[in-house]
Amino acid sequence: MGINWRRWGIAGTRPRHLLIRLLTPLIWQFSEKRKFAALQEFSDTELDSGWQSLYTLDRVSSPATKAELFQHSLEEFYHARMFADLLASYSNAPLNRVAFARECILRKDNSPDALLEFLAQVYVGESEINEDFLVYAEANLDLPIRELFQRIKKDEEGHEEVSWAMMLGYAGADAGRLRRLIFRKRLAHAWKRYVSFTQVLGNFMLSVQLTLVYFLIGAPFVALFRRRLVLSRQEQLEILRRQLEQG
Amino acid sequence: MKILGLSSNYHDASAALVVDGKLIAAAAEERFTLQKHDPNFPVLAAEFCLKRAGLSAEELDCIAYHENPNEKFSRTLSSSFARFPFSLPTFLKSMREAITGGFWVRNRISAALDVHPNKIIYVPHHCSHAAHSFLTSPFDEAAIMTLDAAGEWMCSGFFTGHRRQKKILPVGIVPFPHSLGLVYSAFTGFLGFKVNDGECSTMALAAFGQPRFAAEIRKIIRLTGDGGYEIDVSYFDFTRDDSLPITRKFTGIFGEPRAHSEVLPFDCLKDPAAQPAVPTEVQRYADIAASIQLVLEETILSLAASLRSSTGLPKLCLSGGVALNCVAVGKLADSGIFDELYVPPDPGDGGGAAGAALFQHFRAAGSGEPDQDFSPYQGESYDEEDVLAILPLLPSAGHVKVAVKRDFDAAVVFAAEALAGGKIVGWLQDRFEAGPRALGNRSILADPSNVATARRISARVKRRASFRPYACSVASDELERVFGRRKSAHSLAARWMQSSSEVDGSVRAQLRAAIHVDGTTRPHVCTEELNPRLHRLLGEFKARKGLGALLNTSFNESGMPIVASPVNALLMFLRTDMDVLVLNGTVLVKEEI
Repeated sequence: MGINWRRWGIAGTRPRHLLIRLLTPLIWQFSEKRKFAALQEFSDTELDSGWQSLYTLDRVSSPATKAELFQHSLEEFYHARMFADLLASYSNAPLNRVAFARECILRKDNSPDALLEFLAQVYVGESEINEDFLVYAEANLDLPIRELFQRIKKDEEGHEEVSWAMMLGYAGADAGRLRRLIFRKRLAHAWKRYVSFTQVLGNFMLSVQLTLVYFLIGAPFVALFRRRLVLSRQEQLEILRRQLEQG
Repeated sequence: MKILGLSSNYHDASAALVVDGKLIAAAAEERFTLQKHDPNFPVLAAEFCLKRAGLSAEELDCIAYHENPNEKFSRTLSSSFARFPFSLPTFLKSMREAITGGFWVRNRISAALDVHPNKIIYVPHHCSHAAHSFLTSPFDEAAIMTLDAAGEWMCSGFFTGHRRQKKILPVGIVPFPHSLGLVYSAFTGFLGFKVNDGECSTMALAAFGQPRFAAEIRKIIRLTGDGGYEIDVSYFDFTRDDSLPITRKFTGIFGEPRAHSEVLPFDCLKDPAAQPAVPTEVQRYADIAASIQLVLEETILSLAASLRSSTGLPKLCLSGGVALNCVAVGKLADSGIFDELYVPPDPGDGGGAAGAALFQHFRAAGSGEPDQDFSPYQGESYDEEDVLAILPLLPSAGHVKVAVKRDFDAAVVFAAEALAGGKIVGWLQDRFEAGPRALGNRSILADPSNVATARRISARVKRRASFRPYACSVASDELERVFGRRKSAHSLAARWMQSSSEVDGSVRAQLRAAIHVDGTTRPHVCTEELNPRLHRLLGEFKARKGLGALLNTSFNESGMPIVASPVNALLMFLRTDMDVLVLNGTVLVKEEI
């Protein structure tokens, strides 16, 4: 007697997608903050994708490629705005968003393969996000959110096709080379996810250690030096003067 | 001497290059990353600065960072321990920030630019601000006031600057947590706007209210009588990691915060008598905005008066994030406390990089002469070739045609004609401006007498709240006609939209779309020397409409930084209801025109 996965409509579903489908509605129902943060993250991801295309556009010479990149960027900016608008319609307070550091996908060495690698990365990113969006579109979320995912998913499918066609144009008929490149990019994506996970874990462990430090070292420290923790105005002025004199 | 200035890790990260005391290039990282107020290390801005001067990083004599991260850490750590044992979240946040960033600033710069760590120096934050305002001013000697959120241990600083002695001397400070910037930002969050971004909305909303809460706020911001002020911090929790750093004591007096999504019905394009009736609850928020604005102005005027009497100097340089409050700056200019007032084009943290580099040069090798050619146009310049190459290939641009190609004279005439016909014109030319204000190189322009066009810009281009007013560009020879003899409009502080001034009654109808409900506007005074192309456009527009002034708002959408390149501009052009796009000497129009 096993569980009939097919009955629940989740046979063949990847574990990550299964988790998204099952947990996201629950988490978002109980934590608006997480829902808002997720919508903001989707908006940021779309904007970053658009930015990557713009950055690359400046560094390629073919007008046709430039035009494809521009069109991709334009659509990603639309998507980013849609997520941001949806977030604004839900949220009663402006989100305290932290801008993340941009990491250019395009290698800066001007090698002939740089654009191909960029396109492979875009293809992998688009196909993965396409799969994710499908899961979100079918999950038990608010109707406006599901509708947005369904709408954007169509564009993302188009992006996947365009990036594949562009890759074929650059790689020629060497399908084996393309497959290897895409495999490497998928591996890199998986590694990035793993690193993100370890960062979360690391942050948690750091917080535990710092909490111990706070109470074990903080208590005696404060008991001894509380009065000296804030300097007087005159003392601070003197410190500034000394700093300027010393250069 | 070649010095690269850098600022990062709070908001508005930027880079600037100073060569032999002259500012060669300056740009905020946000212009390249398209993330408004991007605080991350300014890799792309630094790359641009070096490229602009044709330098490699190893040719730099020094890299000046806009603050001392160690001092900043000591402040955050001490202030969290001062509230022990109720400050664990603050402690964790400040430690995490230090461990992942603050401790490694020198290493980060050294690795990013491949320079020896010994070349990197830290300039105290308020000295960066002070240097930025004093050393870009035309003054030989001046009092300097820096009003900021917080920099290391200081929130406000008072200095004197002496070019010939190569000295900027501190004469007074107001320490953390007594911060005018943080208090104003807290009210901004309370009023439903984004902290460190929506302060201009608080300022705009103030014009619709009565300052009936001023007495309560005067109890929070108290003048100490010795040239300083102090904040009753029991109303705030500046260490909270969210957008609303207020306590229950605060809400006990001012009520519940405004919901961000609630629409404010005030309309800056209607006269006061024609404003829509608003519920008492909504009016209360406008009254609170008016109250904090009034008390801020009173405090700044008092600090300025005290600084004037203690230094005896007749000229003032003002900087720090609070100096972005153009209404307060206008009041200060009009007050006559100082004979002359100067505010740099980017007085906030975005100008910190330029300030740090200028300060280091001044200290090491200052010439004693003011830079008479200082210009706010310090960013990157681009040609429009990419746009012309891709336009015919874009499926989304089928309705866009090229009306003028690489002909500046024809472009100006075309733009003036379109503006006079009520069209919205995106205008991009030459190098982009330093700072958050559009000074005619990355601007959206419109006929300032056409209220319907202004409404269209708010609704379908900028997605901007109806209570926020627009600024204007005025040809320098029209200044007297537009503002009469008002001091604020004629001061150095009005050149680059740093202050607001009352518009003369005789031209109000011609400028109605660029005037706030209180009859003021924030002018950019356009001179032929600094911006010949825009000056020319103003002349052409005057020939058609009788006044050399244009509604001028920054070339960006809500939540996005001002565009940098023509390709960015085209993206916005296609996504919004702009009618005409001028890229240097090329004009694109949507076919509906």
